[in-house]
Amino acid sequence: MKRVTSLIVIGILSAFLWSIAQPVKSAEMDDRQAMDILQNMARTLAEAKQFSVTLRSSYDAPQENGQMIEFGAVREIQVKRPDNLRVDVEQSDGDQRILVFDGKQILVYNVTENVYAKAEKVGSVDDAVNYIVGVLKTPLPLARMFRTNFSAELEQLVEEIDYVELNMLTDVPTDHLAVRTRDVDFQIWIAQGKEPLPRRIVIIYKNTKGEPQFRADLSNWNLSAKGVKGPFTFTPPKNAEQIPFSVRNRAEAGIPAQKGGAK
Amino acid sequence: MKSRYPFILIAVIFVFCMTTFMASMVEARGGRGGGRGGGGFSRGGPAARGGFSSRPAGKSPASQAPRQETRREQPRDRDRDRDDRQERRDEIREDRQEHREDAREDRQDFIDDERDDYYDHHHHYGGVAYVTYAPCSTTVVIGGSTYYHCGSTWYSRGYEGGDVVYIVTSAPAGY
Repeated sequence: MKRVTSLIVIGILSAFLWSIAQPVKSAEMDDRQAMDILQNMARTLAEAKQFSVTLRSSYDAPQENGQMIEFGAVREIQVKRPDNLRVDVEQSDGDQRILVFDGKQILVYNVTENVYAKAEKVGSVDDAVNYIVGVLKTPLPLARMFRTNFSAELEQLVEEIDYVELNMLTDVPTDHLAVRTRDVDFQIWIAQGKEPLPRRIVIIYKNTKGEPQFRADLSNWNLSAKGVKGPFTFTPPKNAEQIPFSVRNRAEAGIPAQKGGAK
Repeated sequence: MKSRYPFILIAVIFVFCMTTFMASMVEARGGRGGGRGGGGFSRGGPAARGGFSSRPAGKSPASQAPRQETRREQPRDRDRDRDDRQERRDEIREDRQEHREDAREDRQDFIDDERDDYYDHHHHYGGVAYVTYAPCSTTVVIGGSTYYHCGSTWYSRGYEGGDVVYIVTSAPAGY
């Protein structure tokens, strides 16, 4: 009898240990835990001294006739804090661009057109990202993710958050979250484990006619120093032409006219 | 003499075909640097920037948010007057706080702001006119800078929104 009882106890204990060893299921998650997963991802990115990632994205471009057309790009992004950033871009139409920030200046080189523009900017990666997107109006998808205050921004942006499910189809098990903000709804898939990094993001611009989407798969994450090789300086070819960052920048930021001659 | 006609005819047809082919290739690539894909589709729109927020230009939350009404009738009673003054001070303080919060929110949101002018490929900004495709193929290089001379209009290149655009400019010296 004792033996049977022991077997039952061992069986119950084994079942209990097995159950707690399993990945967390969606039913057990509440909103606060979903927010914790999101914030843990943001803090991991913010605290990384460096990282590199491949961002394969696509987005809907609304046309005048109402049709949505998809375009895409692949970006190799390297961040080395405090003041180095490099983005190598290839668009779906074959255009290739390189953006580098070395702590002193931002240089954008268009390989296809063989032209480049540069702007003096002394500061951190955060400062450069703000300047690139806010002043130079150069697209840098998911730019907020590359700033160290991403966690605080999420706290302000997020109005609703839900845990959708544990996704087993991604290359590693991911927590699938659904987030609502004032301007956009987004879904994010965050890897479980030691490196809780985003593997996929879908953003819906719900306030825009047709509700276009931006989709991105993030792969090849590398947070080691060896994985972030740069280079974070770039010398354009001798026959490349320098053109100005122009139009809005002159009006909004008072950037002086540069070589290139546009009035 | 007659035997040369077929060769001339073949040469003319060959040149015509090559010209047509090259023209179609140029059209298909149409203004790559200007942010346009094949077939003349617009590549722009709010989703093109992949930001975590988006709002039409000129519609900031600060300008949309209704402000608290600070004007009110003056009660006769002195105590009520004092209470009222305190209340108004609180309201003004609240308004200032609200302004500060809106301003802070604007600074955070500017990063993802997107203009709504992505359909039209002729643009104006701050008195500067530009197009997002190469306006013609006649180029003049002066001092290392390429100018496009299209009829009576001159263009030079610049970056706008991450793309190379063609900005209406005055004629270079000597032209």
